Amino acid sequence: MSAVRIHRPKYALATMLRKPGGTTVAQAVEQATANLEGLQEAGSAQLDAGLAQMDALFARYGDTFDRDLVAEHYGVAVNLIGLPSLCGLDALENAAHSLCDLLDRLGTTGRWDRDGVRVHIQALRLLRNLPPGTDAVAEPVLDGLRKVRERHAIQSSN
Amino acid sequence: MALEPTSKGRFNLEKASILMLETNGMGMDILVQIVTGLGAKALHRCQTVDEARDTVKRNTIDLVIADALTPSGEGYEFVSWLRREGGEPNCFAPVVVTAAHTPVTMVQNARDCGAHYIVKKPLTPVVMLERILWIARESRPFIECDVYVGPERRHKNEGPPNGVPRRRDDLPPEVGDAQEPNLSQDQVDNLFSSRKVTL
Repeated sequence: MSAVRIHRPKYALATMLRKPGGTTVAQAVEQATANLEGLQEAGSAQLDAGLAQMDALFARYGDTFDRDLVAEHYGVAVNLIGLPSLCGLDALENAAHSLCDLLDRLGTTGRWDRDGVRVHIQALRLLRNLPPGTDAVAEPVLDGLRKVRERHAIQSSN
Repeated sequence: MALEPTSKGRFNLEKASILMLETNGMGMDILVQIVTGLGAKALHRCQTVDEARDTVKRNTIDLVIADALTPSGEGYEFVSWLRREGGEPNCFAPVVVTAAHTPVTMVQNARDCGAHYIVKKPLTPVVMLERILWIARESRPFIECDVYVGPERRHKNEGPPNGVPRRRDDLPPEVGDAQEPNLSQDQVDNLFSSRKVTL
């Protein structure tokens, strides 16, 4: 058995957080949320660029599994995460996570599911155009994506 | 315990030196807006792992917020490097890893990299602040052995996971026979009743 050393470090951060001044939790959260609102326009543009990239990638797919293309697609999908929420599009965020789960599973198993990927990309487009806060409308779409994931036995946190 | 976003509790992040590793420009913008909103001022923005390593070598860091850098997972490798080769005191720095998605092949890297917490994106101010405050409050010992360097991972009192042997200092799972008679109801009630204490 290897030797185990146990340390009990004192975090300077803990002392700093207790220093006089600073801000309240409520003020800080409010300020940070306001700061994020200032990024919405840029986030929205990047989101649209990512979706366009996704369409272009899908057009390159054939009928058989292409590991490199799936890996490239996964990289693009991962970069979308966080942008929908920034723009208040929670259902789209959920769908983007679902696509990452699917592409990760396809890349791991080497099994190809063109329809499953297509359904996800169509869902992303659809959900992109829904106004924020229309989760009820989005629910059947997300349910469809859930079924695709179930077909691949993906245990997702979404 | 979840952080109440309307809390009037005060904290001060102004003096904390925070290293942020994120290769995605928008991801970095989001992170910067969150931590500056929380009051942080001393920020080290690193867009590559090499930059982050240089920053660790040249500065004392109070908090690291590193993206996992999926799909390469270089963010996890950076945290492992920090723990083993970052030098004191930075090797003990609190680390929050942010992850857009954790591929199946990276789950073990995520678990073993030595981060205090892994936060799934999208990031929100409340969750980031909550994790920072949790780290500051906790007293997890730091474990250093051949296969892992970082804060103790068993900190939720959920017992050892299935298939994992118990530690030498864990209590045995078997409960022996009672050595004394059971307490009476009066004795139990007395344990819970308030009493006046003279100090």
